[in-house]
Amino acid sequence: MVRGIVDEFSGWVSQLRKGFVELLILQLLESGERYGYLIVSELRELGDLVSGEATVYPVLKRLEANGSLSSSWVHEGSGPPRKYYAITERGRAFLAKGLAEWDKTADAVSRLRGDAR
Amino acid sequence: MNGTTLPQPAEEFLGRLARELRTMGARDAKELTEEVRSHITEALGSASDRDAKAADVVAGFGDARELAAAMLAERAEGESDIAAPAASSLARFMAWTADVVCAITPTALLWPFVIMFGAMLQASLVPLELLLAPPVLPATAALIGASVLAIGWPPAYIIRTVRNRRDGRPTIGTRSAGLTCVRTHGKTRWISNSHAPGAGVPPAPAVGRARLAVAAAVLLVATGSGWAVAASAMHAQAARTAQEDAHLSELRIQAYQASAQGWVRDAYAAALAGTMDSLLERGDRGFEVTAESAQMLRGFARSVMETNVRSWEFAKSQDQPDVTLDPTGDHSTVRIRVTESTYVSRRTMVFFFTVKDPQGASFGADQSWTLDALAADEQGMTTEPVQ
Repeated sequence: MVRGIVDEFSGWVSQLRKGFVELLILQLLESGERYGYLIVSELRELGDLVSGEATVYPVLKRLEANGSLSSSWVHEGSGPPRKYYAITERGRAFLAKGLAEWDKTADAVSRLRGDAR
Repeated sequence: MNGTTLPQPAEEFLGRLARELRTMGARDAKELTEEVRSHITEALGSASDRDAKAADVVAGFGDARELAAAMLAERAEGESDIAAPAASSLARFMAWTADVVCAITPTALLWPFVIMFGAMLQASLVPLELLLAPPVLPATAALIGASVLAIGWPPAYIIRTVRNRRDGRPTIGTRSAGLTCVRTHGKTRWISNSHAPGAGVPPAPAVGRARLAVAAAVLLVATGSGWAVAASAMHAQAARTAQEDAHLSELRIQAYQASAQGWVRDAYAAALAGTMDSLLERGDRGFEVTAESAQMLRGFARSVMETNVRSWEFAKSQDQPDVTLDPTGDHSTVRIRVTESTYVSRRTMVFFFTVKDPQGASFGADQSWTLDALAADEQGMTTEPVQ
């Protein structure tokens, strides 16, 4: 029984994170373009919200496919070429709407928790 | 893109990832893999134990197949996030019209030649063997190639265009109509460029159109040149054939009208007129021998044999292979040569005739007839031109 709840919760967390990882990435890139390794590293610093490369790269593909991000390969010196991601106008619009929705949701949850107390 | 060799765990992972992506149909499998390679390279940095570090980084990516599936699935969902409406009916119609025009136009200029070529063959204006003669063969090959291209290009281009559209690749028509393909759950939708991701970026130049125009121009010049060569060769050959046919007809008339003794005289007259040259030089189109002229020749041959036995003796020894006769008494000579092989058979003789005028000049090359001269009866004697 407990094991079932843990599994179900893990699944819920996974779904929840899947939703806001996009916002996290867009928010990160709004301050400037970055390449994949840097994005993963900075998101990791936020804690265990993002599981790692296996989560970030698929989301990057999605955001690029729906036009929220643009990308370009850059060859810098003797190091490996890097694929830089930058947020687009569409991405900024999506971020703004997403954050507004996030604030609305967080506010609703806070009010419910406050009422419950 | 990046030739850096990573530790074995990383290279194995990247190899599996590339294979899985290709298996799943990703056309940019190489680029996707290179991005992961770049990440791993960054992560390794200047680590001392690269193998262990690489294993940790690779573990962060998880299973290669799951990663490949996730990336492609998320990308497909991202494409479906685009709520842009499909292109208008007018835009789609214009795109298809442009593609059909591109299918037909390059070969439209070839069709008049193909039709003319086919009409000429059908009307038997030009014999097929003439078209296959060495001087004309290259031009014939060019015409055949142009015909194959004219007939095969349009359907092949249309089929390829339909496949490209289905697979989401741009065509000349979609570029012209300003359409971009997006995939929604594996299905392709063609939308206006203004709604597409990256809108505002100038579309790729239609290099295909320029190449198509150059190819069409080269094809037109090559086909036109080939046609010009073939037409001039056919015209010249047809003129020569007509002239020689007329010439030969005249000689035949002369022969038919000649009597047994007058034949030589008439041949001599024709030679003097300069026409015998062309007759005797035509090894493949000899004098047609009819029953009447065969009668003449049989009589002539018999008289030669009966009165010139010694001539044959000399001929056999080949010391004097030619026997010069003056059957008409007017110094028009007929030189007869009997070959060794024909004498041996004793049933055929080959007569080589040349005509000499009183001044000793001979006209043309030898003309030959085979006679079955020793048959018991007249019916056994046949004459036919030697080819």
